[in-house]
Amino acid sequence: MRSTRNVVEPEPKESSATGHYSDPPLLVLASLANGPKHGHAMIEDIVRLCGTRLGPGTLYGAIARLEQQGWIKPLPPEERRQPYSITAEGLRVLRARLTTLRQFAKAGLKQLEAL
Amino acid sequence: MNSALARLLTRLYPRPWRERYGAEFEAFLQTGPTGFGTSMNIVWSALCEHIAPTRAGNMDPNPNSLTSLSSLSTTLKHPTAYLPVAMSLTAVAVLLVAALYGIFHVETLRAQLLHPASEPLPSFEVATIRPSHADDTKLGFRMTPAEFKVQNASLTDLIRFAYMVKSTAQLPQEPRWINSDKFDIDAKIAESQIEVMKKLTPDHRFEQNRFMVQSLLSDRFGLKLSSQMKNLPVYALVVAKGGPRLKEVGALSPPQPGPTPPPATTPGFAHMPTLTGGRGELKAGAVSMHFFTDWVSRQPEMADRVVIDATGLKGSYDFDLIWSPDDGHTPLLNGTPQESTGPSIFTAFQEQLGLKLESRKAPVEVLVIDQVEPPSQN
Repeated sequence: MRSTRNVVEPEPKESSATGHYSDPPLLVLASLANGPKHGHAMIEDIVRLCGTRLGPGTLYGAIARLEQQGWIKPLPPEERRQPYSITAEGLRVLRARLTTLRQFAKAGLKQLEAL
Repeated sequence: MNSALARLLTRLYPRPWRERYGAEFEAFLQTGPTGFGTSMNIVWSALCEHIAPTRAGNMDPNPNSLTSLSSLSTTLKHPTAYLPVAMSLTAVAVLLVAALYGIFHVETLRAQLLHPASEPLPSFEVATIRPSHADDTKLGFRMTPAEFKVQNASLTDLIRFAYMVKSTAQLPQEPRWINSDKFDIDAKIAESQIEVMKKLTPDHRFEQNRFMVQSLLSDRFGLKLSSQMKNLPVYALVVAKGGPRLKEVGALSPPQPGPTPPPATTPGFAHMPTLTGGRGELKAGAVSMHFFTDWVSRQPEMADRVVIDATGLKGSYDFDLIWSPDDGHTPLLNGTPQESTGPSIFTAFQEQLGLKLESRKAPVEVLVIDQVEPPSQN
């Protein structure tokens, strides 16, 4: 049995402690990696992925740039919703970015271990 | 978001961008939430689009990068760049002023599910958490000034209780075990706190129990929550024409001195807010409107909508309610089945309680799990 009498001290603010990852184009690519999605589905998927909730303007800013790069493409509209899918080039870019991030995270964590 | 605001915000973007994305963006906004933050995000993005257009010129895959910012100085040297920038800044100012009233209004609707982090939470003296037996199916809560017991509750059930969540739409759904794994909890309140608890009003005591469970979830499940506002369909409980038909319960008298403690099995139970009865029959005792709206939210007729207390009634009340459920169950009157010819719950509210349920859309606080883990060892 464990006592819970002591009041738990307030934790530091999560946003500064964990730093939600925010690179909108990369987040959109990652969201589309497992299948086509429309805007609201992308937002919810990105929240699940990393806790970041993109605003509508930020999302469409990223969509526009990704489409211009040829990394995503629009699919036929479903009622009033416009789904997008990732292209082969987009997948290649996403894989490369994530690999770089993994190496960076690994190196960063190793440096932290030395502290 | 209403269509007029969605159209206005879409028009902030440059024409070439609108020609490609305008229609789908407007439709996207109409089906999404409204809020000051959302509007500001769109205004800012539209401004960025004027400064560094997507469809004209060199684009950077990350619009927040330094290289995209470097285009700002180049663009601003061009005189025609000032017009859209000025328009966007004017729009920002207009939205700021327009939103001030809105912000305060939203704050009054906000239920504030999360306890302010700066205030310490009260906690149980000891608590035991065990996995429920597989043959247990019934969820049960038991609260007294001395103890708090739960049977067969999932973490979602506990969050729902602890944060007084009214609708499933407000609850987190991931990870899956928070819904599937069930627990029995046996928690004791410190001896020194029992007398204090007995002196509290029913609502205040219930609130202290909720805070203690919040403390337990944080301590034993490592639960960390955040919240966000979502514009959801709700029912607002308001006073109907003619005024409320409720019997207000007076202030509680302090506990009587002398060696006559209440029965050990149900200490102080009579002073807790109570809602008893089956579907179609409700007997409420010492219930506040805030507490009552929580119960109303759980009724199938509400279709899982949050019910907001907009009655302005501050007291605790005794009242009875009889209605004809619309889920096919036969209503009961003193345990006896009645013919389903009674009023709907909406009509019963007006006729019997002098209250009314109005359909509205309002910002509702939704919980998000930032961190959670299976309960620590007892």
